[in-house]
Amino acid sequence: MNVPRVTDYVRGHPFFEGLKEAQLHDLTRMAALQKLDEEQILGLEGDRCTSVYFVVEGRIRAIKMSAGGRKQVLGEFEPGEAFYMVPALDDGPLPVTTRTATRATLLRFSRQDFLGLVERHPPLAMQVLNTLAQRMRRLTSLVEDLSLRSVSERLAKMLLERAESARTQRITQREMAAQLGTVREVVARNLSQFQEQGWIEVHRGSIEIIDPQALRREAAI
Amino acid sequence: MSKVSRVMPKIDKERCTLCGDCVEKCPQGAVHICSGELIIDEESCEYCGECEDICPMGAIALPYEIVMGKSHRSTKEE
Repeated sequence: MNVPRVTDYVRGHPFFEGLKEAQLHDLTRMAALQKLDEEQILGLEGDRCTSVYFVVEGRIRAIKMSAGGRKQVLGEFEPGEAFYMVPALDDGPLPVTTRTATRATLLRFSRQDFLGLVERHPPLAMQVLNTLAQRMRRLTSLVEDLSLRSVSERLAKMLLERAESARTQRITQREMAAQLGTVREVVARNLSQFQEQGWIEVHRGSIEIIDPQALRREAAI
Repeated sequence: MSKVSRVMPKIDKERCTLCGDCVEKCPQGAVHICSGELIIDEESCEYCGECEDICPMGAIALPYEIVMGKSHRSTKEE
C-alpha cells in the first residue's frame, strides 16, 4: 500500500533527477518512507551508520556537541538534500547528531542498499560526488567563519543572510549562539552593541536591520 | 482600546516539567504555575530571555524574526 507513495517521493526528489525509469524502479524498491515530528533524533554522533536519508519535506538540523554540552549547529538539511552519505561510504561513525527542526518526511535507504545503488547506477554516484563536493565547500566556509571571524563579525553576517533570505523562519538567541559557536549571553551582548550603534533595532520577537551597510562592514563582506 | 496581542515566549508543554526555575528567575515575576500549567503573563513579560536561559529542559523559546528595515526592503541586494 505504501509503494505508490514511495514511488512518487522518489520520482519527485531532485537528488534522483536524471535517473532512468529502471534505475528509479530499483531505488523505489529499497526506499522506506519515514514521517517524523519536530525535535526527533535520527542519529547520534558516534553511532554506527545504518541508513542514508533524503529529505522530502521539513528540515533536519546537524549538531555537534562538546563534552561540556556546548552545541554547534553545523547546518540544516532541506528538501532535496541527503545526509549520512559520508559514514555510509567510509563505514565510520556518524559525524553529527541529527534532529528534526520541523515535522519532516524522509526517504531512508539502508547503508547496504545505498552502497549497492551507488555501485549499480553511475548517475547516482556522480550526484553523490557532487553533493559531497558542495558540502565540502560549505564546511570550509564554516571553518573560515569559526576560525577567522569574531563572534561580532559572524553575527553581523548571519543577520544579513537571514534578513536577505527568502526563508522567514524565526530563530531564538540560543539557536543563534549554537550556529555561531558561542553562548546566548555573548549573542545578547553583541545584539545590544549593534543596537547602540544604530545598526539594528531589537523588538519583541523581531530584529530589524536599520543599517545593512554597517553590518556588511562589520562582517567584512 | 482593544488589547493588542504581543509576541510571547513559546512553551513546549511536553518538555516542561513544572520545575519552577523560570518562575523564580523571571525578573518581572511574569511566570506562574497555575493548575498544573506554566503561564506567562502577557502584560508583565518583557521578553528578556531569562526564562529561556534557566530552563533545564529547553522548554521555553523566545524566537525572533530577522527582517530588513522598511527603507531597505525594496532595495534588497541581489
